[in-house]
Amino acid sequence: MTLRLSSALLAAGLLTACGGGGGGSEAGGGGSGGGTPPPTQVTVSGTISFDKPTVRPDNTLDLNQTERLPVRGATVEVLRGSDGSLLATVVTDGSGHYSATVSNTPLRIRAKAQLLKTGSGGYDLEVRDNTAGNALYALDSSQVTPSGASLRVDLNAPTGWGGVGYTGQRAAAPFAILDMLWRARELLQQAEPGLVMPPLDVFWAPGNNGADCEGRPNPVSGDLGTTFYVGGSGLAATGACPATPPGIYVLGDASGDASDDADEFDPSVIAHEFGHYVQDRLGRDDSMGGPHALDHRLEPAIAFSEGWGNAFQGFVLNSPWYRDTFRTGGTAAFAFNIENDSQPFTSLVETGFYSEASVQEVFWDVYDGAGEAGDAIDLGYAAIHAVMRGAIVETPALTSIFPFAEGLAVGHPSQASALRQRLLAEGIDGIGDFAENQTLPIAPDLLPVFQTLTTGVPVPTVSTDRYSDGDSFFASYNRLGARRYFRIDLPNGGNLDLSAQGPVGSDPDFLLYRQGVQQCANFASPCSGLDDSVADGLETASYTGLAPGTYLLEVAECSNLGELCRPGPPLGDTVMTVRMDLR
Amino acid sequence: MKVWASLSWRVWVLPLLLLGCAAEPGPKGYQSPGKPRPPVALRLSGAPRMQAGVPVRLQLELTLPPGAESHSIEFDHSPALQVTGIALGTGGRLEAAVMPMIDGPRVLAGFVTFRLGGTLQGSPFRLRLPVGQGMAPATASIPAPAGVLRQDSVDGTVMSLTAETTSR
Repeated sequence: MTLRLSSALLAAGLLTACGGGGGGSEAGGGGSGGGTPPPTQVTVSGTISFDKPTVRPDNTLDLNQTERLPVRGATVEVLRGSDGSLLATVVTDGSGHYSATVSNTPLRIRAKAQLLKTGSGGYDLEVRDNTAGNALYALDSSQVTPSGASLRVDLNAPTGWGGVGYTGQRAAAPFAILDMLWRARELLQQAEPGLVMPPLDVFWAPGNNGADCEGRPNPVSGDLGTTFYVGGSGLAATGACPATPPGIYVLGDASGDASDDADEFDPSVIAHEFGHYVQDRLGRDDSMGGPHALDHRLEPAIAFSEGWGNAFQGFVLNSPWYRDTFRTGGTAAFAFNIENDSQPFTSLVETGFYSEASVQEVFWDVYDGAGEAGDAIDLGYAAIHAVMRGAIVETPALTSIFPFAEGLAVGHPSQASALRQRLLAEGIDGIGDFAENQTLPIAPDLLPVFQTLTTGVPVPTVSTDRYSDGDSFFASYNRLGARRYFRIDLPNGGNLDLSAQGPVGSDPDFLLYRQGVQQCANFASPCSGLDDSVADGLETASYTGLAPGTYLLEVAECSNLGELCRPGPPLGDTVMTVRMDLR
Repeated sequence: MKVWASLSWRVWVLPLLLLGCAAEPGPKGYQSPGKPRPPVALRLSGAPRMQAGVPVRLQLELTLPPGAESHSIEFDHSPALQVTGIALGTGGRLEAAVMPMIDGPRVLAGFVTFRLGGTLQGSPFRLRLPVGQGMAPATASIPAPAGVLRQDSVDGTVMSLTAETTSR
C-alpha cells in the first residue's frame, strides 16, 4: 500500500509540475497580445465528484463498473498555488457544483470531506483518518493557472481500483461515506427543519480491519474489530489500547485476505451506525450493546436499538434492503429485506418485542406506504422522527418498541388501530410504555415485562440464561429475561431502601434509573446495587432525596450477564424477591 | 470476586471479535455493538493445546442458517498460524490442520460462503487461538497508510487525496 500510494503521489506531483509549467499568469497574459491587462479577479467554478461502484443483482459490488456521483454539500477551498493560503471557501450544491471569485493567481482547489453549517439547521459532519492523527480527508487538485476571467476546475475522486485489486489511492472512499452523511442529514432536516445536529466524526482508513486490541478497538493501528459507533466522550485508554474518540468507525480492509471487509461502499452499514448516532445524540438509547443477530431473543432495549438501526438505513436509502459486502472489491455479501420478514433469513428470525427483526419490520411498515397485506399504516419518516425525539426520550420505561408504539398512536390516533394490528402480527400486544397485558407464550414466567413495586410488598421475579445460545462469555448479557424490570412510582419522591434476595450462592444486582439516567453516583455505597452478595444472596441499597417521578429498577442475577459481570458459568433460572421501602 | 463490580451493566463495553461490541464510558455515552452480523457461527470444539512448531488438527463446528444449501470456507494466510489442510465433515463439522509458528495469542480468520433462498451470502469470521505458554499481548497491527499530511489553514491537519483534475 505504501508503494502504491507513493506512486500516486508521485503522479500527482508530476501533474502539479505540468500545471505550474503552463507559465505564470504574467507569461500567459503576455502571450495573449493586444496589451490588455490580465483581469485582477477570476471566477473559478466546477464540480466535485467521486466514483462509486455499481451493485450487482446478487448484492455484491462491481468496481469495474462505476458511476460518477456529485459530492454534495462539501466545503471547497480555493488555495493560492504558491503558498497554500486560503483565497475563498464555498460549499458545493446538490449537483456538486461550486463557484468562487478570487484574485487572479495560480491556484489549487481542495474539497474537504466535511459537511459544515452553523446556526439554525447547523451540522458538522466530517470524515477523518483515525490512523493518521485523525486528519480530515481532502481532495486536492493539481495547480492550475487562470488564463482569463473564468476558469473551470473539476475534481473527481477515483476508487483506486485496478481491475482485480486496489492499485491507487482510494480517494473515493471518504466521499462515498460523506455522500451517505449528506443523505442522512437531508432526511433528518426535512423531518425537522432547523434541527441542530451534534458534531459527528466518521473515521475511515484503508488499514481499518477486523482485528482488535484485547477485545477493544485500537483506532491508532486500525484494529477496530468491526464498524461501530461510540458516543459520549468515547472510550478511555486501557492497557495497550489507546483511547477511542467518539464517532463512527468504518472498516476499510482490502488487503487481499479472505476475511477482508471494507464498508465505505456499504451505505447500509454507515447509515445503520448513523442511526445509532441519531438515537444516542438526538433521542435516547438504553441499549447495553453486546453481540446480537436476527435470530436472537434480545433484551427489549437492544432489540429496539438494532431494529431502529436497520430500519433507519432503509429510510436513508429509501430501500428495504440491508446490504453489507465483504472481501476485496466487495465480491461477497450479506443482505436481507426488512420489508419481507428479513428474507432470505425468514426461517430463523425471531418474532416479538425482543426481536430486532420484528422492530425493524414495524418501523418499515410505518415508513412505507400502506396497501400490503397486514400493513395499513402510512406515516413516513417525519412521524417516526417525532417519536424518536419525543416519546422515546421522555419515557419512564425502557427505550423499546412499547413507548415507540404508544407515542406514535398518541400522535396519530387515526392510525392507532392499524398500528395495533401490525404490532399484534409481531406478537407485540402490550399496551403503553410499560407493556401492560403483554403475553409471552414462550416464557410466561418472564411476565409481566415490567413488574410493579410498592412500598413494603415483596415481589418475586426470575432472572434467566435460557436464551444465551451457549455464548459462554456474554451468556445472557443482552438476552431476554436475564434482566428484569420494575416500575417504581414516587409521586412525592423521598428516601428509598431496595433489596433483592436470591438463594445463597446467587449474586443479585440492581440499578435504579430515571428516564434512562442511572441514579447512584459512581455506583458507590450506600446506593450501589452491584455488590458481591454470593455469601447470603442478598443485595441492598439505599437512596436519599429522590425527586418525585417514576423510576425503573433493573434486577439481574449477575452470573447470567456473563463474564462481564462475574466469571464462571451462569446460574440460569434464579428466583429473587425484590422489595422497596420508603423511609 | 466480581470483575466489573465498579462498572454499570450499561457503562462498560467490550469484546467483539466475531461479534462487535458495546461500551459506554459516561452517563450518556453509548457504543453500538457494531454493524449487524450474519447469523453464522464458527466455534472450536474442545480446547486443543497449541504450541509453536507443533502441528495440530482443530475440530471446528460451523453453524449456518436453517435451509442454507451449500457452503465453502476459506482461511486467511498467516505466517504465525499456517493452515495446511481443511476437511469438511457432516453436520457443520470440519477439521483444520494448522501449524502454529509463533507462541502468543493468534487468530484464525477467514470467510464462509453459503447459499440461502437462492442468494449467495457470506460472512467473515475470526477465532481466537492461544498458542504456547507465554501469552504476550498481540502486537500485530496494520501500518498507517502513507499519504501527505499537511497543515490546513482552517482546522488542523488534512489527509490529502489526489484528485483527477480537469481544468479549462
